[in-house]
Amino acid sequence: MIARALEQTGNAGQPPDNWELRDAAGALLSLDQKIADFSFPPDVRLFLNLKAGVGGAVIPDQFVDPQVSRAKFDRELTEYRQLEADYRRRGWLLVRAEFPSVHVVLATPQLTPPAGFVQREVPS
Amino acid sequence: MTLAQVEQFQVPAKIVRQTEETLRAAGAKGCEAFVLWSGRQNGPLFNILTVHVPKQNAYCLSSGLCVRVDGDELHRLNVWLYEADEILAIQIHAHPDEAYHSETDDTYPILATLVAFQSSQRSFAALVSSHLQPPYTVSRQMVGPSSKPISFG
Repeated sequence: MIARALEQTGNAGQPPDNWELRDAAGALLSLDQKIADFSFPPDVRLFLNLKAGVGGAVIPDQFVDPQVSRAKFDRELTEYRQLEADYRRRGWLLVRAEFPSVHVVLATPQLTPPAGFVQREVPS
Repeated sequence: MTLAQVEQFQVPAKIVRQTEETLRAAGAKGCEAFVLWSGRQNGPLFNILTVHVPKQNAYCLSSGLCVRVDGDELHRLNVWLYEADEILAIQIHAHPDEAYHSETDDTYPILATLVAFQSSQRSFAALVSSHLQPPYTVSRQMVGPSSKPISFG
């Protein structure tokens, strides 16, 4: 929905991930929910805002609110866990997940005998 | 009607003065600052009506300066613009020395409509001031092939 709204209004200066949806009172609306879940009245007005605007000659280390980063980390991890059995069959072994890093061991189960482990640290 | 169709921006002198004062005040503290202009479009003419100095955080980092406006303030501004029937047209900020658009400026603009995006890429006048080191200068000119005049009156 956000991507379509931005396209229709010509807002191409920042990608869809950099926008957030709020009600008139400023409450953030979850983008994971269906519109029907909110039970909006017919005359509701929603506001699509940028998460931040930044200017200057440097890029700071952290643009995103740490709480937002943490929430995204937890969401990605939950989605991974839901598919973990499939990942394991492919040889992906998640051995540790502590914000903001995930440690995954990549094996090659199709080899006989199984061999070749590579450990990857994936910072979020 | 979109901002891309605007051929001329009319800016009251009072708003220019307010803008320069804000940028100078921030510069005197060694900081950068954001100033925004909004108004109403009448065909190819855009009348600037309001100057906004959003709540912002300026950072002095070892690698340079930057300034950030957070989502809560951008929401407040968005609601104000809707209720006032104005649209955001120009984003102005200061750099400590040379006037140019940095990678940060181009990546995280507050004004994200197409005309702003094009402008940040190459041609739009941003009134970027060099305020931390003398001489103080303010650019008031457009550059590039798609330049649009700004009237100060």
